[in-house]
Amino acid sequence: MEAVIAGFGAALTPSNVAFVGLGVLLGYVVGVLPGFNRPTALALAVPLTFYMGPISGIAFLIGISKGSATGGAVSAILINTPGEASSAATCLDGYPLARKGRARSALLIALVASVWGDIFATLVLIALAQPLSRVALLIGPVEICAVLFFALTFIASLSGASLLKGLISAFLGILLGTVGLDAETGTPRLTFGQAELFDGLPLMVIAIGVLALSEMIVQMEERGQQQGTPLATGGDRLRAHEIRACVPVILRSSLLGTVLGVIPGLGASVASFLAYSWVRSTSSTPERFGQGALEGVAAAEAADNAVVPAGLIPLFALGIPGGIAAALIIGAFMIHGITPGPLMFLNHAHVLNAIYASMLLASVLMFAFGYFGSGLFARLAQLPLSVIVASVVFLCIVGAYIEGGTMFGVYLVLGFAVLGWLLRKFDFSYVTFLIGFVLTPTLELSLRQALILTDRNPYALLQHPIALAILAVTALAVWRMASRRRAVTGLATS
Amino acid sequence: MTRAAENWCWRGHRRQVCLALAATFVAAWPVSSWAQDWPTKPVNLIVGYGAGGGVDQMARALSPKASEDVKQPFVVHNRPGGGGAVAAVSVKAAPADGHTLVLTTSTTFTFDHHFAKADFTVADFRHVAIIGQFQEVFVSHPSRPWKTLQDAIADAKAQSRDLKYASFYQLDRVVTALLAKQSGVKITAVPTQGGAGVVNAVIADQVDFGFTGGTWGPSVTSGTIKLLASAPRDPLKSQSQVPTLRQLGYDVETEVFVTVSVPKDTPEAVVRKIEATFNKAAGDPAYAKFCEEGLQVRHFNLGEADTKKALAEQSERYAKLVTAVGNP
Repeated sequence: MEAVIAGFGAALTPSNVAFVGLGVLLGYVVGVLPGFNRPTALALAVPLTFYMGPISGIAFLIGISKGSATGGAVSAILINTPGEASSAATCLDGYPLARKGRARSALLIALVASVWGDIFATLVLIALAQPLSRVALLIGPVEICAVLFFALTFIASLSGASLLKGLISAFLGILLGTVGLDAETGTPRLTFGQAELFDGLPLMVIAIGVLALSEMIVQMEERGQQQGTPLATGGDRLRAHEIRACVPVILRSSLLGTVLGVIPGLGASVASFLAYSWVRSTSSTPERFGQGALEGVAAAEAADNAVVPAGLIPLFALGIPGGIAAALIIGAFMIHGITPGPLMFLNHAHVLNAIYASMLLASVLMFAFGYFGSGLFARLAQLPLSVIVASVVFLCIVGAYIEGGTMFGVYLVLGFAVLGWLLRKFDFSYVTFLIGFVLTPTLELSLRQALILTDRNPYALLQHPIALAILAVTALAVWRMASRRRAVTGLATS
Repeated sequence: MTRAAENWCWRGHRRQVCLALAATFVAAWPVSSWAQDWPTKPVNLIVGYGAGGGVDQMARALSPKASEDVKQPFVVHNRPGGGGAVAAVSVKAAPADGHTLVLTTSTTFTFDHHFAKADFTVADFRHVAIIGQFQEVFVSHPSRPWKTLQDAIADAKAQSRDLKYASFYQLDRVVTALLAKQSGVKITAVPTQGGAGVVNAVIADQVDFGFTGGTWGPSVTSGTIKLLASAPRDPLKSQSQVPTLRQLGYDVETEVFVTVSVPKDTPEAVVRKIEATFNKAAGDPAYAKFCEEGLQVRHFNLGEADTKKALAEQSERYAKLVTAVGNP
């Protein structure tokens, strides 16, 4: 820790502060705008870092990553359009809150959760990078697979009134999650010969369609029957009991996001959905979720933001790139003659400490920008519905076009808007649909890896005690849910 | 156009329509002569892979140099999907005026169609330049007692066990299928997510070895993985002591170029200009340094004639390889 404080000396130069601030601001804007995503912003920014020193350059890139994770919540809450794929889970309660005239509270909670998740994971990175990265190595395909099986049990508690309908939409999500080239054989599945589908359906486009665009159809329908709900934002203040309810949620979700972020290949979207599901299914009032529960926003945002610094743990300690953002940061390190990995802690400790200090600085700046930004953006929620619907439809279609790169993305988003509308109309849960879709590609890949690595031998599981423990918890969770449901239906019939 | 609309055009507004046609003709006329003055507007560089990957980084390193050279911006668009197929399909359909180029890997045209049917062939384009070559390698955890890939195979043979490796994509599965056939050892591919997935699996020692064409340099430098063999014909530029597959006695190699292509009907004069622009930009020493040190990409550049020949040979070689091993 002392070394990090010394690192502040190197980090707090005017030019470095400016670059970190610029990175966070840029990331925040990219996060707010659907269609511009983190990897694109980073790819554009990497050449700029050639002209910066190593500390400023890396801090600039990390600032963009952090800023975009925070900014993604703004459009998720205000217009139900995730600015980043990983803020899709924030829409689920954030937008209902905004419709109730509580946009400002939702934005504030999202910001606090984001910044806390971010600071917590950054501190874990600083203190525990090396030991934790060794733990990360113990988490292989078998363990990831077990974690995701456990995650599937959340579908039951997220299904809403009818478990059967929840399962049907979850299976629809799972089915669509299998579209694309088969990972093992390269055979095209459900692609109808379209090269655009070879890499699977893009999460971002589907989230925009199912969440944002379909909601706009619902809004337009309602407007036919009544004038849209007027938004009274005057009395929107966070109340003490709401803050008290959110604190434990933020702490838990930051921890979950950090743990999942350390495991390479899981990513922020999986983490934020899992945190949301976890908090919702352990809540004493789960029925409030989806109707505008601040805890839902807090959970998704804390986990989403914790993943960014946590994902740097295997990168810094072992040189493992968890994803494309990490790979770009490795590139930036290499340009400055630093190789991420165990040797970095010995050979470039002073640079590393200054980067740590810059990361904490980025968190503080993020709060400042976010606080200012949310005050500004919250006013958007007061615009008349006709203006909001028109601009959201525009943003959705442009976002889908940019994301897909061709008109194909636009056709997809329109198709999924209709699907989302049908799900709502017939009371099928779009939450379980999205969870099924988000989890499937990783689940399938890790399951197939696990089957190959264990030679399809069930006894090989005995060599994976962590996976066994998680599977046991999964079985217990299913049994508990089944018995609780039986008790409830028993009560209902008697 | 509906019948009514046609009537409208021709009956009441014949003069306007004729004028409009004349105006269009006049407007279009200079374009064909301007085509010689390529570029007359910003050039769209359609990249077949996602933002941040090796191919994308090469495109982004080149485009400012090309822009400076021809005084028109080169705008990078990522259109990932199907190993470059999505980008290739869209550029095939674009106007053949040299303002829409596809920058992807040679395997988009020469290899991938063996596995997923594509709506284009290598002949639908003029392949204007090669701007570098990926250097694929076999890597393992440093604790494995092997110096080369041959040691790993011999070891597996002696213990009569299978080898499991982290696979990058279809190309390495064909190559390892041939290694398996020639050595008699079963080699099973464990699919992973991109090059990063391969490096992860190897560092965590979940597999015997891994195959990657991505950025393996940092991990090798830091000693978290070690090189067992290189797959292209020529030895690695930075680590020439690492044996190639051919040096180990296997009749196989990988070859993945990064290529720039335009629709096949692009005028000859424009093609020459694009070729010159990319040769100049790719010849830049700063770009060369970025490729070799930042991406472990072998840096060289070829013009259209050599590119065409190289891709034709590559197509034939991969076709033979796929036939030799059967579809793995």
